[in-house]
Amino acid sequence: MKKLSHLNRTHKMGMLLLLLTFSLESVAAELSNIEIVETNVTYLTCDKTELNKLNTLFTDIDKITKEMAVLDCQGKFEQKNELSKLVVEKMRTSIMNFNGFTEFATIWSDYVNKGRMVSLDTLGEGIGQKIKLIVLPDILPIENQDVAIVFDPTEKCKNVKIGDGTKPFVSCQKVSENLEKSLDAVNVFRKDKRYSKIALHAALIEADWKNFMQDSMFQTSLDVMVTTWIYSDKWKQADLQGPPPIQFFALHPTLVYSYMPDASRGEEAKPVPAIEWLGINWWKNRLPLGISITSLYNDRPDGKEFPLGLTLHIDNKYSFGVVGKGDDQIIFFNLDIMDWFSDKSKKYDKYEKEFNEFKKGLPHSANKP
Amino acid sequence: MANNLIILVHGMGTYEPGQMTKEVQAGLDKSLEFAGLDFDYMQDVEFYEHNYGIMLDGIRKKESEALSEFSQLGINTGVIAKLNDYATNLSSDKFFYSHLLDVIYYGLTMWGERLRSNFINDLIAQKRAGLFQGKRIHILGYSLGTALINDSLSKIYRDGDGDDQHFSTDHDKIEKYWSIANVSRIIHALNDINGADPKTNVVTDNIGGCIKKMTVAAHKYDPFMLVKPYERVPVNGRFHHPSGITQANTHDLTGYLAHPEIGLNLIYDLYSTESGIDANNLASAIEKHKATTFNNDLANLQTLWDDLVDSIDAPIIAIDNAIHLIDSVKAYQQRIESLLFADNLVSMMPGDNI
Repeated sequence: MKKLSHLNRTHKMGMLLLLLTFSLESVAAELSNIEIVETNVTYLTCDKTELNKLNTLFTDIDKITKEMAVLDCQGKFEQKNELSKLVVEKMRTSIMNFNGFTEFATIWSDYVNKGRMVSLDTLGEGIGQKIKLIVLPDILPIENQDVAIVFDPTEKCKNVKIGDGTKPFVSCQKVSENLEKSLDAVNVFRKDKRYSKIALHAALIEADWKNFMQDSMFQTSLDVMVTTWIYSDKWKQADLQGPPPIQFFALHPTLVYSYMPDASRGEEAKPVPAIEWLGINWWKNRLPLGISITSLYNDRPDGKEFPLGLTLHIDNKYSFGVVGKGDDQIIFFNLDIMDWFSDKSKKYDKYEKEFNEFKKGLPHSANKP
Repeated sequence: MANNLIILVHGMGTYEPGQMTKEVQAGLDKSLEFAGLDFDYMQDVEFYEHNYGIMLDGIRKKESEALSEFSQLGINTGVIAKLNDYATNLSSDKFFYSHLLDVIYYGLTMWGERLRSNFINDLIAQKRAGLFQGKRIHILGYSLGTALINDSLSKIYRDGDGDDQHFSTDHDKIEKYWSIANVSRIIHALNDINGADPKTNVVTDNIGGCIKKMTVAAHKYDPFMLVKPYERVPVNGRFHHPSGITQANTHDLTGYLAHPEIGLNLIYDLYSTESGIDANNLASAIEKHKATTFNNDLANLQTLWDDLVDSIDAPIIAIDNAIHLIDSVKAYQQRIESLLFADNLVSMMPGDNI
């Protein structure tokens, strides 16, 4: 309907003539080879001649498809007003030359995609109530959409049986699907060009999500909820969205390896749990950076039980920080929880060993008794 | 080479590769059996499973493992203890938590968009491949999968000619969409995506829609059809409302497709009379199926159903809504289970996934 409104009076007149031609043909058509059988489903039989005519139409369309494909490959398709007109004219000729069309139009009527049907109410005089028109797919520029296949939706038909019925049934649905497939084939190259743009857009977003899943810091459900909430408008957008540019954290548990220089002997270095009360991480930066307000659970006899401080996250992976003040100060390295536990025992043992060796080498540590 | 490609999109819970195909085939086979037909519906059909569950499983597992490992190191205090309890629950009641978490992850967090991106990319790839192979692309969505489909198609289709980022509802339609136990409305109430309201969006076979023919199936006694049921009536397709109960899980995919009205019509959609399906054997299949359904004490069942309906209060917040729903399903299934035992009916096709 929307598209028909673009048509000028001449085009509408053309369509009207086309419709009238088919209407007249319909009246004059030889119906002897059409047998309507009323059973649980309605059968229409038709002879091989009619089917051959149909095949001719398909062959013609196939031919046009190939021509268009060549034009497309040569890059001439987009420039081609003249070429386009030529193709349209061929399409028009092939449809108009299809003598058995009226009968087949009837057969297809129940099965064609209604989404493509356009009522001809705009033509007035009640024609639109009986006859609908199918605009050929987007092969045609708007101004040429008066080239159309006409269907009469008032006729009922369910199936087509070939000849005497000894051959397998060919259903109306199959016939209409084949026709549509044929018509769609005309557009393959055009469509793919369009699809490739859509695919590129979606692929970039998907790649961004993959990077997010792979590179960003591990988030608990609570972190995800907070991040989702902060970007709530983003997820409600009608268009596809990429991942959040910034990650947020709340009550995020981690394990850290802590070092308290002034702790009692033997208590200086140990793994302890920590909570990042609130945190933020710019995971997409060239050098990803983040910061969190953090408390450690300090089970040493020295210092506060829950000293407060800051964690700095670098490269979505490495974290370190400091909590407490003066003699109670504790520095820590914070391994991402998932990295840590991917092979936790070995990693932990190795880390502890290395850390102890490192500790022995420190002047402060060496001076202690 | 098959001319029809059906993209299968599963429901809540974990799906092994090939599992949904098996469930669909089991249902279709059963429906043909009811009709006394032996038709090879795979001769021109290829299934493609879009398994978003793998992604959700990964997310769920990652968190569950991380938090439970925490306690194994003897760290079990305060917030960590609570989180640990939560993690333990994840594995102790798989049904409840996996399904609830799927709904929460998809409907209430950014993971929903991550899944939509993945589905849209999959769909585009299949459509592009189908162009050159002349394949007709269909979708069969089930349960939570219908929400993923609804939201994704709303994002990737635009009414009219489309553009560089969107398919056109005029030219790029999905051929057929079978929507089984459609929960897109309840999920839309959670995620509230603009333009994705199932009542008005482009996911329809009406003019301006992105589907050529849409079929919807909603079992009368499927608890998931209780809250915000999908009600949009297809224009070119059908809306099935089966009511016979053959098993405790009235939300079961195989159970849906085994119903001849749904399974046989699906096959007929693809093969028409080539399938041998006609009005007579369809009618007799429906009768045979009816004979396998639980039919004792229907009045009592109706009372139980009414109780269940009453038990679902108006949602206070979204998560409560989801928890209520899944709780109700469990309670209701237990009730039917006891009735089935009383009726000496063995579950026809038990299924764990919903």
